[in-house]
Amino acid sequence: MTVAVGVDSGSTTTKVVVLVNGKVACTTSAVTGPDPAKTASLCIDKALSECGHTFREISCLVATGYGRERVSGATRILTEITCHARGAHAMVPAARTIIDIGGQDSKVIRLDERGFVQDFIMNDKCAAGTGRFLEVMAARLQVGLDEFGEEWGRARGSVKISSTCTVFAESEIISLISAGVKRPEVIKGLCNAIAGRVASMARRVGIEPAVVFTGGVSLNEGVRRALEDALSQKIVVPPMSQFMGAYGAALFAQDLVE
Amino acid sequence: MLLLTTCSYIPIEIPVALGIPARRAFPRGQKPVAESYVPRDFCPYSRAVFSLAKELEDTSEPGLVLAIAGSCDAMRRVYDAVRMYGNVPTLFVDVPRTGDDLAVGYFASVLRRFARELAAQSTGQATGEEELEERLWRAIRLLDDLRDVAKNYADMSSSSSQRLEMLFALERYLGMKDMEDAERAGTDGLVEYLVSEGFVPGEMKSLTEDGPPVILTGTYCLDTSMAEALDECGFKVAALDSCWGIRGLEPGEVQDGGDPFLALAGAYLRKTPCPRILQKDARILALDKLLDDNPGIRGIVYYLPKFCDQGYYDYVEVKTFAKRKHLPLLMVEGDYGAGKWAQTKTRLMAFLELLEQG
Repeated sequence: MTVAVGVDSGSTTTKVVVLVNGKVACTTSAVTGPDPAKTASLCIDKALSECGHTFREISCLVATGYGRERVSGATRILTEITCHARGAHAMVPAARTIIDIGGQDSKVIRLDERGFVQDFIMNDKCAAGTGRFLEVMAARLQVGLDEFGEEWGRARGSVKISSTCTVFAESEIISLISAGVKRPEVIKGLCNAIAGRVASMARRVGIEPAVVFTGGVSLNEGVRRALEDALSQKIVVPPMSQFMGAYGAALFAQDLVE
Repeated sequence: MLLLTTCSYIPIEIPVALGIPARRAFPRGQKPVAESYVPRDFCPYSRAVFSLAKELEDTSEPGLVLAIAGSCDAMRRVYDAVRMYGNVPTLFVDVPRTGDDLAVGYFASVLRRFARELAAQSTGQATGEEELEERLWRAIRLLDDLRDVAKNYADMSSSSSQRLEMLFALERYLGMKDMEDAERAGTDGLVEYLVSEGFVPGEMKSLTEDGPPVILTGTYCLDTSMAEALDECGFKVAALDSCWGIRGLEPGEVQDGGDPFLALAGAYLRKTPCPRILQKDARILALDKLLDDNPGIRGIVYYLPKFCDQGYYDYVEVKTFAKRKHLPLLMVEGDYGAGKWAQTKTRLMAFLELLEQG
């Protein structure tokens, strides 16, 4: 029996994927918080106990994400670029472009037919174009992030959010609400703003189908639809899309075991 | 007197000929003082040079002179700001953007004026034209020999930051001696000095012998942090295309005889070009030469100080070049200390993984 563990210690959320004999046995996640090492350990323990295993049984553990160097017990450390590529390609073999929008960064990765990274671009210096942007706006609009897709569907049109800065965009939506613009239209405008920003990053590395969308924001239906409009491409959201980095890390761990 | 220069296009041969110690200004970063005088969206180096000029006002060292090269619009603006708001003797050396005969003739006149102004700042130095020209030819020949030694030693070192600092080591050596002493000591004198500075052949082991060889290029390195980060991540930095690296140690061939200013102007304008000079064709030829000189290069890391306009233009050209050569390219944009940032290291590690998987 082999137990391969992938840990993605992200800036907002820590994700763990456990493969037992090469098959996904369990996934778990937790808010990273101020102590990434402790959160990773707790997450690993939780995931293992859920699938009936213990830390001692781990055959190999690969860590990725911003806190990757803090994960104890890692056999190997890899960047989230490489791990997302591995995970997405395993899940969608036709994947040639990956758009990953996490809590505090976004990245676009271009792959070849083997799933090897050809080029990548990251935005981790500005909250615009990240999950944090949506969180701030959702709080201001008093709407859950999971309701964005529904709200998008209700919108009769959309407004243009001109500000690329999260702080200024928040002021802008306050003005729009004061001007009587309905919430669905504002939400559609926000989804379009984030999609526009990420699409311009994607164009810099080149967009080739299939385009796979990963990271926590991939679960946001409004952003997915806005991205499809912005890129004029079908966007594939694979199963476990928010766990893709950890899944890729687990696959690398499985390779090392074998 | 001590001359501080801001650019590798200011020939060190001139202060050496005048017996004036000179070295490259090496500001460690931008200070709040720059906020009031230089726009925030200016390149970090320009802002740091302005900060340095303000700091020099408080220094107790007498006879400091700052030479600012008009290497780009930002530096030209810094010169204006230092002249308007500063209190440090400052000379301006305009640098043309091409290497054609007209530009060389103009640059020769700029250098001649620079030499006159520099001599005027100093006292008791040779200012007669004939004597100055004779001394300048001697300085040119001396620097030719010493740069060869420095370059050989730089090539022997495995530490990228040590290689970047070779130019400073050469300048420190020249600052300790007058030209006659340096001539008498010859290349052996420099070798002795370099060894005393830790450049010991055979003891400079490679940090990253097995790493994928890459070129580090861009407009300006700002500091050694990016080179150090490349070493730490496990790249083998085969070529440091920087004004502290090869651009500073490989001026073009100086045509012997005649007007030394004209010869120097030609050699400097036709040296391995800095992207700030916007000699697009020469720049690509120089990159091509780097690939020829360093077979097996696997990728290019382009370091771009933020807000460096010339760098953004140059990056597009380098990207096209890399694509044509089927070489992966990573652009890292940053500020002073960027090599120590976690974001930079993530990009570098991801690029390393990309090269290793391919």
